[in-house]
Amino acid sequence: MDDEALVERSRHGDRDAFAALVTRYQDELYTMALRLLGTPADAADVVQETFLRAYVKLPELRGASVRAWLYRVAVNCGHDVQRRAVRRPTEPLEDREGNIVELPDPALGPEATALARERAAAVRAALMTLPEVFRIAVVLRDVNDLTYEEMAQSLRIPLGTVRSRLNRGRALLASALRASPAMNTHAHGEG
Amino acid sequence: MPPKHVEDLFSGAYDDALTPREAERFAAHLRECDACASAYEAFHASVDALRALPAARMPVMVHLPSTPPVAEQRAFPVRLPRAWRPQLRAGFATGIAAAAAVVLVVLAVSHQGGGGTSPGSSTALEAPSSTGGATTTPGCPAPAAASASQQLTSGFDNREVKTEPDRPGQQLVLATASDHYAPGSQVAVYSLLTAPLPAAAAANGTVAPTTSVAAVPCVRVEAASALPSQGGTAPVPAGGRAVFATPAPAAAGSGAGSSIGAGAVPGSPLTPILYFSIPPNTPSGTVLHVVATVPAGYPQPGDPAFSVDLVITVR
Repeated sequence: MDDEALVERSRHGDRDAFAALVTRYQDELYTMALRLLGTPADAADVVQETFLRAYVKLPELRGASVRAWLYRVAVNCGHDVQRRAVRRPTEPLEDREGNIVELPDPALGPEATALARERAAAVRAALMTLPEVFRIAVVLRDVNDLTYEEMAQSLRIPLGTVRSRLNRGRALLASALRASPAMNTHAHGEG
Repeated sequence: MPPKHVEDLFSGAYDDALTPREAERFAAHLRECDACASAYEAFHASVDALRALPAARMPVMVHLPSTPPVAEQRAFPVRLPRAWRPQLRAGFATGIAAAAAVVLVVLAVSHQGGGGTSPGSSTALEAPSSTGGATTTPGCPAPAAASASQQLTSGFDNREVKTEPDRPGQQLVLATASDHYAPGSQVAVYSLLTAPLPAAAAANGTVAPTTSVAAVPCVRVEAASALPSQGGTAPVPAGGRAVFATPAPAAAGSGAGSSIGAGAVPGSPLTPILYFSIPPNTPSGTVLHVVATVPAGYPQPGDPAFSVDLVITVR
């Protein structure tokens, strides 16, 4: 069943239809929030709050893409959560209850796995150095693969602003990564 | 370092979003310019590295209310505080604007590429405001009401909208003509606050929501880090930023012979709420944040504050 049909059924009181939307989008919204905020607890808060807000605001969703609308709600929630949790120390991406938040690639050997982890950490750290508006643009495009049009809808900004923010954000990311020792380390057998 | 007009194409090139002509010129340039080719290679690799990060999974279950979704729908979720209602009957756009009279515009400055900011120092941007100097919220100009037909859309290439899902129909918009300004140029900042208000009951007893629009009337500017050509420092108050100016209320826009309207958007029916000038020697890439905040407790007690952040980059 497509998003619009699920929303329509939800509007008519079908709680299970809304739960299906949650199942469909919770992981990608969590990934977005994790890249934006950097901490699993905050990211989970964002997802929970996003769906709670969306749940009571469904009647407002008319004529817009469900996906773009959910991202807009999530970005706003992320902004609010970040403001509330701005003093919270950064936590590791592996949570303390043993939940696997990010899965390693089983095809890699131990050394390559260690290097990949190091590089992934460098990328995440570089991402967190970006000013929020640029980080949002980069995450929506390069983490969640939103189109420029979906980004414009989600952020309510013109397409030209989407392009300029994305270009600026990516350039800042490249600049931050150039300075990262992890990105200049090569595994055995690599160039 | 590649020229800016080449670097501006990097993202479009990565996404295959350049026009055929742009793509052809871009490729031709990279063939002739090793520095640009190397910079684009690094750019490409960094975006690839980000895209290679694994997707994450929501580690906990999302809890939903036990009631069906539509049971939560409210006809008029936002009701203004009782104290405001008489004013709103008299002219609710003005009332809304007055309710937001403590909205602040904060201009925080962060420069990309190091240098760092010193929490202990601050400096003023150049504000062509007759009020100048450090001031606080008191003395805000009377709110300038705007008609509901006025929107911050055409003529604004840089626009930020903040809405609150918990406050349907309410939004705060900040806009400037561009998102890039050269050092020394003047920037005009526009703002609109929109809030839903109950209209008079119709003959059949139903009540339809309506919307009022008003310019955010009261702003101040704060700077968090030093910019070139500004030698002075001032004590930073609690909150870490120093106020340097409030905008001139009526001087904006239409003053005959005034240079203050130089950065305004031609043809806009609205008057800018704030002008400021970017210091001449500001480094390219400096990012300016203009943040307008609706304070907590508006429009209903217990509502959290919300803000909109508009970014300007110095060319």
